[in-house]
Amino acid sequence: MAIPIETLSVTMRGVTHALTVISLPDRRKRSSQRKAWVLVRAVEQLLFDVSSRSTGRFADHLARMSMGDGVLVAERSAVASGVLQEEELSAGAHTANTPLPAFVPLH
Amino acid sequence: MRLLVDVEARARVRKASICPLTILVAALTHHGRCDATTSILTACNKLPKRWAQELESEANARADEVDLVLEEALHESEECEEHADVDLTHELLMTVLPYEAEEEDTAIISNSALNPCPQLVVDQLIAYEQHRMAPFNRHRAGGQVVTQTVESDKSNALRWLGYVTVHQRQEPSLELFGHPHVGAWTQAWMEWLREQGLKSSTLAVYCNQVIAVSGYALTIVEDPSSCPTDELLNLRKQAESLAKQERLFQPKNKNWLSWEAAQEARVACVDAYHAAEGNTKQALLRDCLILSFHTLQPPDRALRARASCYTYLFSH
Repeated sequence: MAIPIETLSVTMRGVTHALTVISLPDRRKRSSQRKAWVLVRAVEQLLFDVSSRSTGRFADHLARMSMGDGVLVAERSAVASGVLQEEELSAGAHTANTPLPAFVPLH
Repeated sequence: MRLLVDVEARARVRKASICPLTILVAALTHHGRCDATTSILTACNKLPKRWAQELESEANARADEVDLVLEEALHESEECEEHADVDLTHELLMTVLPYEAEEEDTAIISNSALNPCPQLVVDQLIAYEQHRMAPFNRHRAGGQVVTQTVESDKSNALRWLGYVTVHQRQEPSLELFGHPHVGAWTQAWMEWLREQGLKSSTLAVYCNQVIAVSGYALTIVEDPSSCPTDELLNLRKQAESLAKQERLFQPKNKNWLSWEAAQEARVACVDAYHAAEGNTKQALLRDCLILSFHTLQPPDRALRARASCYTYLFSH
């Protein structure tokens, strides 16, 4: 089944950025409710203009607000544990023209 | 469109943190308004209402315009934000209403108070007074209040008891404020008061006072858990909401004129001009011109709508 992916246009100071939103069920919870997800790194880039390696500022901000638990790390082990499916991981990683940016551990 | 991609890193992506949009929205809102948060939330179609209002207000200010309704809404949301971190129920119990009971409303129902007042109720009202005015009282939510507040609560309690005694056939006692049917009785009472022509702002104040007395009643009834305080809070919220609607149609400033009154002033001025002679006529001419300038054209917003309407008509 195709994974629903949407690209939002974020216009900031005259420049338009593409922000990818991917729809996945949150299998960490019993209800497995489908949610829209965004890349933490992409938000960090937009919010703090961190163009080089991640400094984890947005993740820190989430942690300060006690929302750090809401973040899901999309990686191979998440597939193994059943939180993500293979096609979901690959869809997120290989979205046309909007590949996932590098993730430097934030936690 | 610039892609949010770290090109060098494409090949070595092993994992990425993703976060639900709902959390992102909450985090960005908490982060505060700036170019980035505004842009992202706008793109997500989740821009907080207050931010949108602020942006509109700033745009108006840049264009040397003022939208009074918008400024009023901003002012109201500012007041709401002060209590944003407080639980709504607790806030409702603790918040003083921004209204006062209208004197004429109180006069309409002056005969409905419980009379004669049984000794039991008198004693309970004295106890209530001590309950509200003691500097420290572990059973009371909120601080101590002044005599005026307690007296007002007591008068309202007697009106409520007067209604409940007559219409609901109950033995008068403050314990009735902690009764499982207090919500239904208060609703019936408020409906009756509305039929008598009382304003919603007065009803909101009365309901708030019922909640205050109910808070005391919960300390004297056997089963306080059966008292539906939430029903009373609902009634208060509804009365407050109606009061806000009523307020919209009231003049915001006593010095403001309605559009109709402004037209009447212009007509009166023109009549006076025609009737006057000599220097007075010259002075009135100036007034006529100023009044006509301000009243013979539609208000600003209507002007915009009409202008676009005319543009449409002329272009078709």
